Amino acid sequence: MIPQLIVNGIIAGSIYALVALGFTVIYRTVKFFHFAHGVVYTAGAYLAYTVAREQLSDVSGQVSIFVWIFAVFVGVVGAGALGVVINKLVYYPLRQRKASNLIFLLASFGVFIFIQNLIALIYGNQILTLRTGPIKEGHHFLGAVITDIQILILVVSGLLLVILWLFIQRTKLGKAMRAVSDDPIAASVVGINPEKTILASFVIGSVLAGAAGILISLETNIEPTMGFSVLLKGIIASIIGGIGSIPGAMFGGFFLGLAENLGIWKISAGWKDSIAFAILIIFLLVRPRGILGTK
Amino acid sequence: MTDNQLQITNNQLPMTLLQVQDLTVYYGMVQALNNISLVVNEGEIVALIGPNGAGKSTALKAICGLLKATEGEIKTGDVTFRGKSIKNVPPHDLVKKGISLVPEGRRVFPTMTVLENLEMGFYTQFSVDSSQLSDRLNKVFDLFPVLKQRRKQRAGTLSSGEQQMLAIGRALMLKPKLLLLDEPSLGLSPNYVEDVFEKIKEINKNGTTVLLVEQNARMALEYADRGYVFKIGEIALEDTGKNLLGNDEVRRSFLGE
Repeated sequence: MIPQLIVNGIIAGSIYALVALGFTVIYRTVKFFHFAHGVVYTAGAYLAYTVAREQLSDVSGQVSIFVWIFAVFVGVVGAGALGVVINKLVYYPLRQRKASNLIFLLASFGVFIFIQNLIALIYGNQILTLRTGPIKEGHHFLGAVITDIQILILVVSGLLLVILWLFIQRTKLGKAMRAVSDDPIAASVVGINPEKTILASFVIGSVLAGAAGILISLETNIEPTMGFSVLLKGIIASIIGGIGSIPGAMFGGFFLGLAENLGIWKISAGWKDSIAFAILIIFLLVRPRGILGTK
Repeated sequence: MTDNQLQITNNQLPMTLLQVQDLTVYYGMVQALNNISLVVNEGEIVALIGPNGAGKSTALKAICGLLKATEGEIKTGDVTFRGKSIKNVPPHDLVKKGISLVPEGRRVFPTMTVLENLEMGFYTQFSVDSSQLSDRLNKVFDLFPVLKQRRKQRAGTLSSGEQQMLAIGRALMLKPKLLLLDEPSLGLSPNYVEDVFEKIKEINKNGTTVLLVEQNARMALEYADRGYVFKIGEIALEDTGKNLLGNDEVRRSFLGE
């Protein structure tokens, strides 16, 4: 039982970590909670679904690998583009007007609700599925069962986490993003254009959200409201990891996934969300700066 | 024009590097600067002094494009650098023109190491070959040996004096023509203040023109070639540093004599 809960926890954690990471990358440059991040995740899954849909109706249920690659490409690029559009159409004009953080928060909620309803309008409120083919039995591994899809989720999210870490630490743009996060005025004094850096953070953060949305849709069903609970988990993971910290977001994601899944060992699965929020409250009371946060 | 002729012109009259003309600035409905004009010539150290709220910092912000960040607005007038208007040009574009700013409160990148901070100063020229980077780094380390010792340390852990050195070093990474310093002595212990001004003098001798805003009027005027005294949004006095130090009104108002 325990090994299975750990495997489930790590898989859930890898999705939380991806969402938390995208959320954090954006938070670091704009310094407000971009709630609409959750709906970018949903959009990524729906875009991939749209591409694969034609093939899904096929009786055999087999979707060619090329269609999959194209579906993933459209989902990820579309999510990145959506992040850019939200930034350009909503946040950029607000920044020009020196809006307060409360205004950004409300605007972000508005965008979330608008796009979620747009998706419901186009695709309907019912559950859809991207999963295809016969259900294969998983691999037995140290007393746990793990499916091919779950291995894929782990490998892809692990790769994305490593790539992002190297990007932030090593590349010119990554360093610029750290500089803007440290001090936007100092960053502009050394020649960094803050708007360009914010744009880059929206692209990267949204691509991560889209990738997470596609990965989870291989494992479970998709519906227009799927983004909300994942967004909350991503935010909780960011906070317990230390808001604004990139390793913190990764760590917080896995921590939360494991805690939720191990927590239901003794209590019923219906309490999963309560466990997440209980952990959040404990952290806010005892260690508000999070595990790896500073100050 | 041949080099020879250029030399003669240079010798005859000082080259105007930066010119502020009839500048009026508002913060919302509040007027912060009323029709001020000032000039910085090539090779000079120019100090803007005056009491708090007199507008000297606003003048610097207007020059370096940071007014917008504080919701200020240039109503009339112009700022030119080498004859071209730089009014409302944001700081990240000014760097490319050869103007570097050491902002008030130093503003180093606290989570980055000293070396990374200096490399960030080189940001706009990141793509050039690394020999140029190490060349610039060595020049900065020659000027501030303490930064070399601490190059692997996080900037946030430096003392405020060392942070000021780092902020100046970072600004020098791009070999600016004009170095702007906003309150370089603010929050520094007295022995560091003199250190910082000595370094500014040295930087100036190496060919960088300096414009600084400073609370510590005595120190600023001792080191400056010329100074402007600000009073309620206007320039009340303009003279050489030496003359201003001897001026009765300046002595009474700013030097506490």
